[in-house]
Amino acid sequence: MEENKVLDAQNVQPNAEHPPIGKDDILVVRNLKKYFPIEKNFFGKPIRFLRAVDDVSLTVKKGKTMGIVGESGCGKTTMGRTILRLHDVTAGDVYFEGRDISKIRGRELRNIRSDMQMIFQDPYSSLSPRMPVGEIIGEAVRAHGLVDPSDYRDYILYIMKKCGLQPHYFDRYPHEFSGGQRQRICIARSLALQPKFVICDEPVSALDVSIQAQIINLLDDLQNDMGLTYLFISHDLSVVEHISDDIGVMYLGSMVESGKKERIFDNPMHPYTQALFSAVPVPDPNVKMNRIILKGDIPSPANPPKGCKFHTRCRHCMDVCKEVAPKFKEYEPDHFVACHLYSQD
Amino acid sequence: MENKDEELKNVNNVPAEEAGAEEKPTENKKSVLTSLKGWVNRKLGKDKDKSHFISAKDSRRIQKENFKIMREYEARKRRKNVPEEEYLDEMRDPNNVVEFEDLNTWFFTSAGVVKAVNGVTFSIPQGATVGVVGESGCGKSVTSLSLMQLVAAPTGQVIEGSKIRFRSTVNKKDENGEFIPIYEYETDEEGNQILDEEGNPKIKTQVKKDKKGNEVKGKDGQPIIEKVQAKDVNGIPLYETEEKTYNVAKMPTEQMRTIRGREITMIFQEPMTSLNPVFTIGNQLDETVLLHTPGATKESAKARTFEILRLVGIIPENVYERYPHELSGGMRQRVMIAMALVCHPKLIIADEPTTALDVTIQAQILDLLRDIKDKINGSIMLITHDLGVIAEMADIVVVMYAGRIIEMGTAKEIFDNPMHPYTIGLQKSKPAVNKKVDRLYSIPGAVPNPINMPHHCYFKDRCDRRVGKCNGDYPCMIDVSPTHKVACHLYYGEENK
Repeated sequence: MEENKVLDAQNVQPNAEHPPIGKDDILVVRNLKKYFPIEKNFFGKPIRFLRAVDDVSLTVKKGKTMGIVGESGCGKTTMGRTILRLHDVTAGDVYFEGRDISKIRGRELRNIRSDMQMIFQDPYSSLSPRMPVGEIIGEAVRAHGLVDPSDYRDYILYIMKKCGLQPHYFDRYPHEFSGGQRQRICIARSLALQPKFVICDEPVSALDVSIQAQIINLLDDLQNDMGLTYLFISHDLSVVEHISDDIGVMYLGSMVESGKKERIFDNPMHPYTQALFSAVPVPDPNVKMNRIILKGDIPSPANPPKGCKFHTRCRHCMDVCKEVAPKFKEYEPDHFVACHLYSQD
Repeated sequence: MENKDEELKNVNNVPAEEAGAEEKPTENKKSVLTSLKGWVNRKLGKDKDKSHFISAKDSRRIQKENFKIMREYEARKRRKNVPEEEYLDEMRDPNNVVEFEDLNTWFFTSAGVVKAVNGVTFSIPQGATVGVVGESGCGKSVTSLSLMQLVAAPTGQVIEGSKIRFRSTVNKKDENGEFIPIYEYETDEEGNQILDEEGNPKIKTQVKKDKKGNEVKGKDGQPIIEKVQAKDVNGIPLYETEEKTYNVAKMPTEQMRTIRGREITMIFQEPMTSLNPVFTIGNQLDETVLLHTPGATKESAKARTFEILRLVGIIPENVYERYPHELSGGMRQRVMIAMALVCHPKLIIADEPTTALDVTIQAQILDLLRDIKDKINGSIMLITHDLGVIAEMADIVVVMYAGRIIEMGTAKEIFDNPMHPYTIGLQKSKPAVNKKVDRLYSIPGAVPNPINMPHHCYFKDRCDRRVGKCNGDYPCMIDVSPTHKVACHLYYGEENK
């Protein structure tokens, strides 16, 4: 079976095509796959898989921000969680600071966790309602033994101040705060561990416009202050464009286009990226957009179309698209596309 | 949240006490006592900032007062056989479909009265799209729910004196209280009406038949001759109609049911939660038709459903027998739109119709809404927080903040020449594709606590252009141009005279 072959790929050596890992590359992901079993046979062996993340490669440079865009259900969140090892890796490699972390476990994994943190999407459900703010922020600090117990309170207050929280919030509970303040608590919680790499999973999509700007500016300031690296996952293209240096566009578990922000926004090559960019409403009534409207919906990742995954909705669909999956190739410096419209050799 | 100055005071108070206690240890009895008192207070948690709490006693008192008021309002809404004159009204401008005048919708909560909508006045012209923008909690949804009489009762009530005038088309009634049917006229082969002896058009007649197709015979044994009622393409019989203006704020619930779902319909934000999971799509759509159209049969309702589903771009045969969970998000939203259109409404309220959808699906749905508005010649009230969607769809924009309208005008005026500092801030704080800024502009602070709002401008504490006058009364609406109005002290004296 095809899936079983892929599962065996765990033991295959990294592809020789990939360039070596540079000094600046804090995170390198190669051919990452995450399949969830959805059907098991009589003996409990999984026979059908949901391909949430299917062969994704990306590189994030130190101190930069990589933005991941895509529609809901395209696997952006699963990818983020898999990189952090909140899910087990089905196949592929994740190099963090030059070290493969896709298979480490136990104490080793625990030690690396404080370097990689996540900010979750919904600040209303990701904070424990029974813990005061100080405890929420400090719990992981204590667990990792990051600071001396006598300096504990001062350290938390310092972190809170940095994230724009007033010191007397220390004893309050999350339900007493508005959405923007809660998101600040979430940010403080992940930054209290002094991570090097933070995955922001739609950190502003649950917030109001005027609060969104505050949180984006805060993330920007903290990056400059602490030299953080972000992987910024969002479906809001305008936010991603503002905050990112590099951008990856995902569709149905695969990366269809990635590269420098300027290159992708000035010259989107993949038909999906073009449609996605043209669909964003522009807050200016004088601009009449030449909109590319995609027909139909995103197919189910449990049963993705054969060949190029986008061919069912693509306006340039050719015969070859229905049979062969296109290669993910570099067409300009720092601009990768997977599409049959461009030469495959 | 609370007043900032108060917060700072509270923060400074606690360390000052502690410091005083430590500096002069056991010098005299008084200092010992105060330090002991401080220690006890700290142990009991009394030194903590409790300004954000309300005591149980206060809460009970407020509840008691509210209960009296709420009971009165509920009783008024539940009355039966109310004479129509009580809620009839006249439109100020006959081109409008809806006119809100000084709408107040308050919520009587146990923490105090929340003025969710506080004196809102605007109107929706025939055939126009009116966009209402604002942050969550600014009262934009409550405004539309007030129009539908769907505000969460009994806590939420439209306060007396509010006026929501709606121009309704109702079936004419004769003296006996029955609808007057429209009859079909006899025509010759060329389609001209045939006149009878007196010169009036001749009405078509037929022999009355029962359901099985047998002729019905009268008492004298002769078949009964009846007039043929006109029907639309789907076989729904037609009646004579007239226009009446109702004040929805005063209407009892019983009468409201004849308008809601027929002439004013709503598209909700979450298509999954607003469709009933245990009924098929066809069932739910047919129900709407059967309920609101007198004389509709199952067959004619199904025909109407098919027609509307085709209009929203769905192949009806594929969907009619399906359940909501079998459809994708975009399809579900299309079904919701179909449900809103099925009775040919005058006004569609779209409450964040695309917030739960992806960008590419959002583009599909917005395209569809624009298309449909022209086809049915209705008006749309579009509620959203996305300025991009508003710019694309709306003809008239209403900007709300903390329950009040702060600025309104045509889309061009609001986007090219925003005047209120909040509108300007809102537009600057949204990053736009292909518009590069180093740092986003952000409006400091958050929306004030809706309980016990101050008398001055609600935006004053967050405003970066505030002047001395802002401490005064809430600014009134100033006409900058015939269509552009703004509520801000900065523009006093710039009225369009």
